[in-house]
Amino acid sequence: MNFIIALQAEAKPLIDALKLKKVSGSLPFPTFQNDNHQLVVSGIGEIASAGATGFSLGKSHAQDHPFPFLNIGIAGHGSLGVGTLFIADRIFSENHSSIYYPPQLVDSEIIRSPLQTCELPNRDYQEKKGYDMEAHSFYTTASKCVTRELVQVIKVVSDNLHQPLDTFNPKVVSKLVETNLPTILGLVRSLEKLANEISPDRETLAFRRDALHSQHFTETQTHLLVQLLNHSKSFDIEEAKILQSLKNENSAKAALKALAQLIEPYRILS
Amino acid sequence: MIEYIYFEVGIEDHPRTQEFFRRFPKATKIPCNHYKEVFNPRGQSFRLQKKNPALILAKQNGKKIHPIPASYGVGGSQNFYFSHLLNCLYDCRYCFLQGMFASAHYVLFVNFEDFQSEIKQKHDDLGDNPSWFFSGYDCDSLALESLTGFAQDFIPFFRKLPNSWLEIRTKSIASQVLEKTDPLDNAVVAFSFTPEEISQQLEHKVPSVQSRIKAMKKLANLGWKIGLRIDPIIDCIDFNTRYAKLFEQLITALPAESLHSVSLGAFRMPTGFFRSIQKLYPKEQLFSGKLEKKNGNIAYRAEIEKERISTCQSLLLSHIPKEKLYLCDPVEIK
Repeated sequence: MNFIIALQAEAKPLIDALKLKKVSGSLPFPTFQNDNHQLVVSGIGEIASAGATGFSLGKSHAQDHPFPFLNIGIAGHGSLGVGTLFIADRIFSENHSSIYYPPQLVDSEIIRSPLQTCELPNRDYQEKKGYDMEAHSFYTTASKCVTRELVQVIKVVSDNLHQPLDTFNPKVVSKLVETNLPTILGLVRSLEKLANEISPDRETLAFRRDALHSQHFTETQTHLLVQLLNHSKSFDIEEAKILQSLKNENSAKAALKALAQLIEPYRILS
Repeated sequence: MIEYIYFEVGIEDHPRTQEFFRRFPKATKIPCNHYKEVFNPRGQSFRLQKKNPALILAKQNGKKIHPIPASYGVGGSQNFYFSHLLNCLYDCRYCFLQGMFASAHYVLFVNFEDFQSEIKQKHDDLGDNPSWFFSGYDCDSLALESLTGFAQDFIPFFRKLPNSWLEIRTKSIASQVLEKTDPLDNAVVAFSFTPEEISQQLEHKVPSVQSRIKAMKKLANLGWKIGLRIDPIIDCIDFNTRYAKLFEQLITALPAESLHSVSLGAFRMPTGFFRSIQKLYPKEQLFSGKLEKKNGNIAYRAEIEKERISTCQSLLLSHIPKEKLYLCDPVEIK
C-alpha cells in the first residue's frame, strides 16, 4: 500500500499507527516505510503530488504485485461538516479537462463526494463538493500504472461555509485525520484485500523466478516462458517436473521446446 | 443490488432514468458528461469490477442497428444486431466482452424509443423482405430484464412489425416476462448451452443446464419458438459423450414444432481480446488448450475445430432436419 500525503501533520497519525520508519538517505520526498506500506509526504499542490506519486511508483514493484495507492488529506467542502471523512467518486480540476471516476468496489460506510482540485486554496463553498489541491494530479499519475479500482482519494473536511479556511487552525490537522483513523485503516485493509485478488501468489512468483534462472532467456523467450508456466499451472503440472525439463536442456530455445512438449498432452479442458 | 448509478447529464430527465432513480433511492448517483468517460478508460480491472458492477445510464447517439457477419444468421437474408445494454450479469470465461470492454459496469442506453425508430425505419426500407434483429450480442437479452424492462418494451413493439424477427438470446431462466404475454410469432427465444461439466467450469453465475432446459420447455409449451445456440463449442475430455448427452436432453425437452433453429459455432475470439482476457485469468484451462492464431482470431487448431464441429453436426442431425441447423463461421479480423 502506498500513501501520498501532502503534509507531515496529515501523515503523522498513519506513520504512528502503522509504525512506519523514515527512510534514510537523500530522497526527493520524505518517505516512511514498513514491510507492507510506503508513505511519501509530497508537499502542497498538483506538481508536488504528481512528483511524489511518480517517485512512489518507481519505488514500488507494481509489475509483480499491484499495490494500491491512496491519497489522504484535508479538504474544504461545500456541504459536509468539519471532521467528516469522504471518499472521492468524481475528481476534476479547474486546470484540466480530464475527469476521473474512481471505481468504488469496497463496501464502506464512508460518504462519497465529488472533489475539485484547485490551484489555490478555495474560499468559495458554493456547491456540494470537496476542494483540495492534489487529488487530480495524484490520480492522473497513479492510474497510469495501477488499476483504477486500487487508486483512491479520501479527505477529511477541514473547512466549510460555516468554518471557513481563514478561521482554520493548522494545529488540528493531525487530530482531524487521527479521529478518522479506524475508518481509514479499514479502507486500507479492504484495498489490500482487493489487490491480493488480482496478484499472483508468492509461490507462483517464486516458481517463476526459479524457472527464469534455469536458462538465459531473452526478453521474447521470457514472455513465452511465462505463458507456458501459466499453462502448466492451469493443468496443475508438478513444478519439479517443469523445472527439471527446463534444466535438462542446453539452451533456452531447447528448454522452451521441451516445456511445450511436456504440456502438450494436458492441453484439454477437464 | 445497484449501489452506484452513473448517468449522463443529458438524460437525467429521461423517464427511464427517473424510474431508475425512484427504484434505487439509496444508490449513489454520479453525473458524467458521456458514458465513455467512465466506461472506456484503460487501466480498469474487468475482473475486479465484475464483483460489483455499477450501472451507467446513457443515450446511444450513434448508429443503433448494425449488420451481423454474413454467416451468423438463422435463415434470414437481412440480419442486424442492436445493443441496448453493454455487459452481462453472467461471467462466462469464454465471453469476448471481457476482452472488448475496459469496464464491467453495465451500460444501459435508456433511449429505447430511438432504437425502435431505427428498427422501424429498417423494416420500412426492406419492404416485404423478412429481416432479423438480434438483441443479445453485447449482453444477455433477458438476464437483467427486471432491471432494464427490455423485453417488456420491445415485444409489443415487434408485434406491430410482423415482417421483422426478433432473436432474444439468453442463458437466463428469468422468463416471466415472456410467460405473461402471448407468444410473439416473429420472435425466437434462443438459449445458449454447453454441456453441464463445461458450464460448471466456465459459465460462472449462470443457471444450471437443467434449470435452463426447464425454463425453455415452459416457454415452448406456451407456444414460443425456441432456438438452440451451441456456441461456443468447447473442446474437452469426453467431448462426444458430453455433447451427445446435452443434445439428447435438449431435443427431448422440446416439442418438435417449437424448435426454430440450432446454430453451432466453435470457440473463437479476436486475438487482442484473447490476450486481454488471458491476462485477467492467466491460469484458466480454457486459454491453455490446443489453440492457434488464424485470420486475426484465436481458435482451436484447424483439425480439432473441424472434428468437433463435424461431431456436433452428426449428433444433431440424428435428431433434427438439416434445414434447422446453421453453422457460424468465424469472421476474419483484418
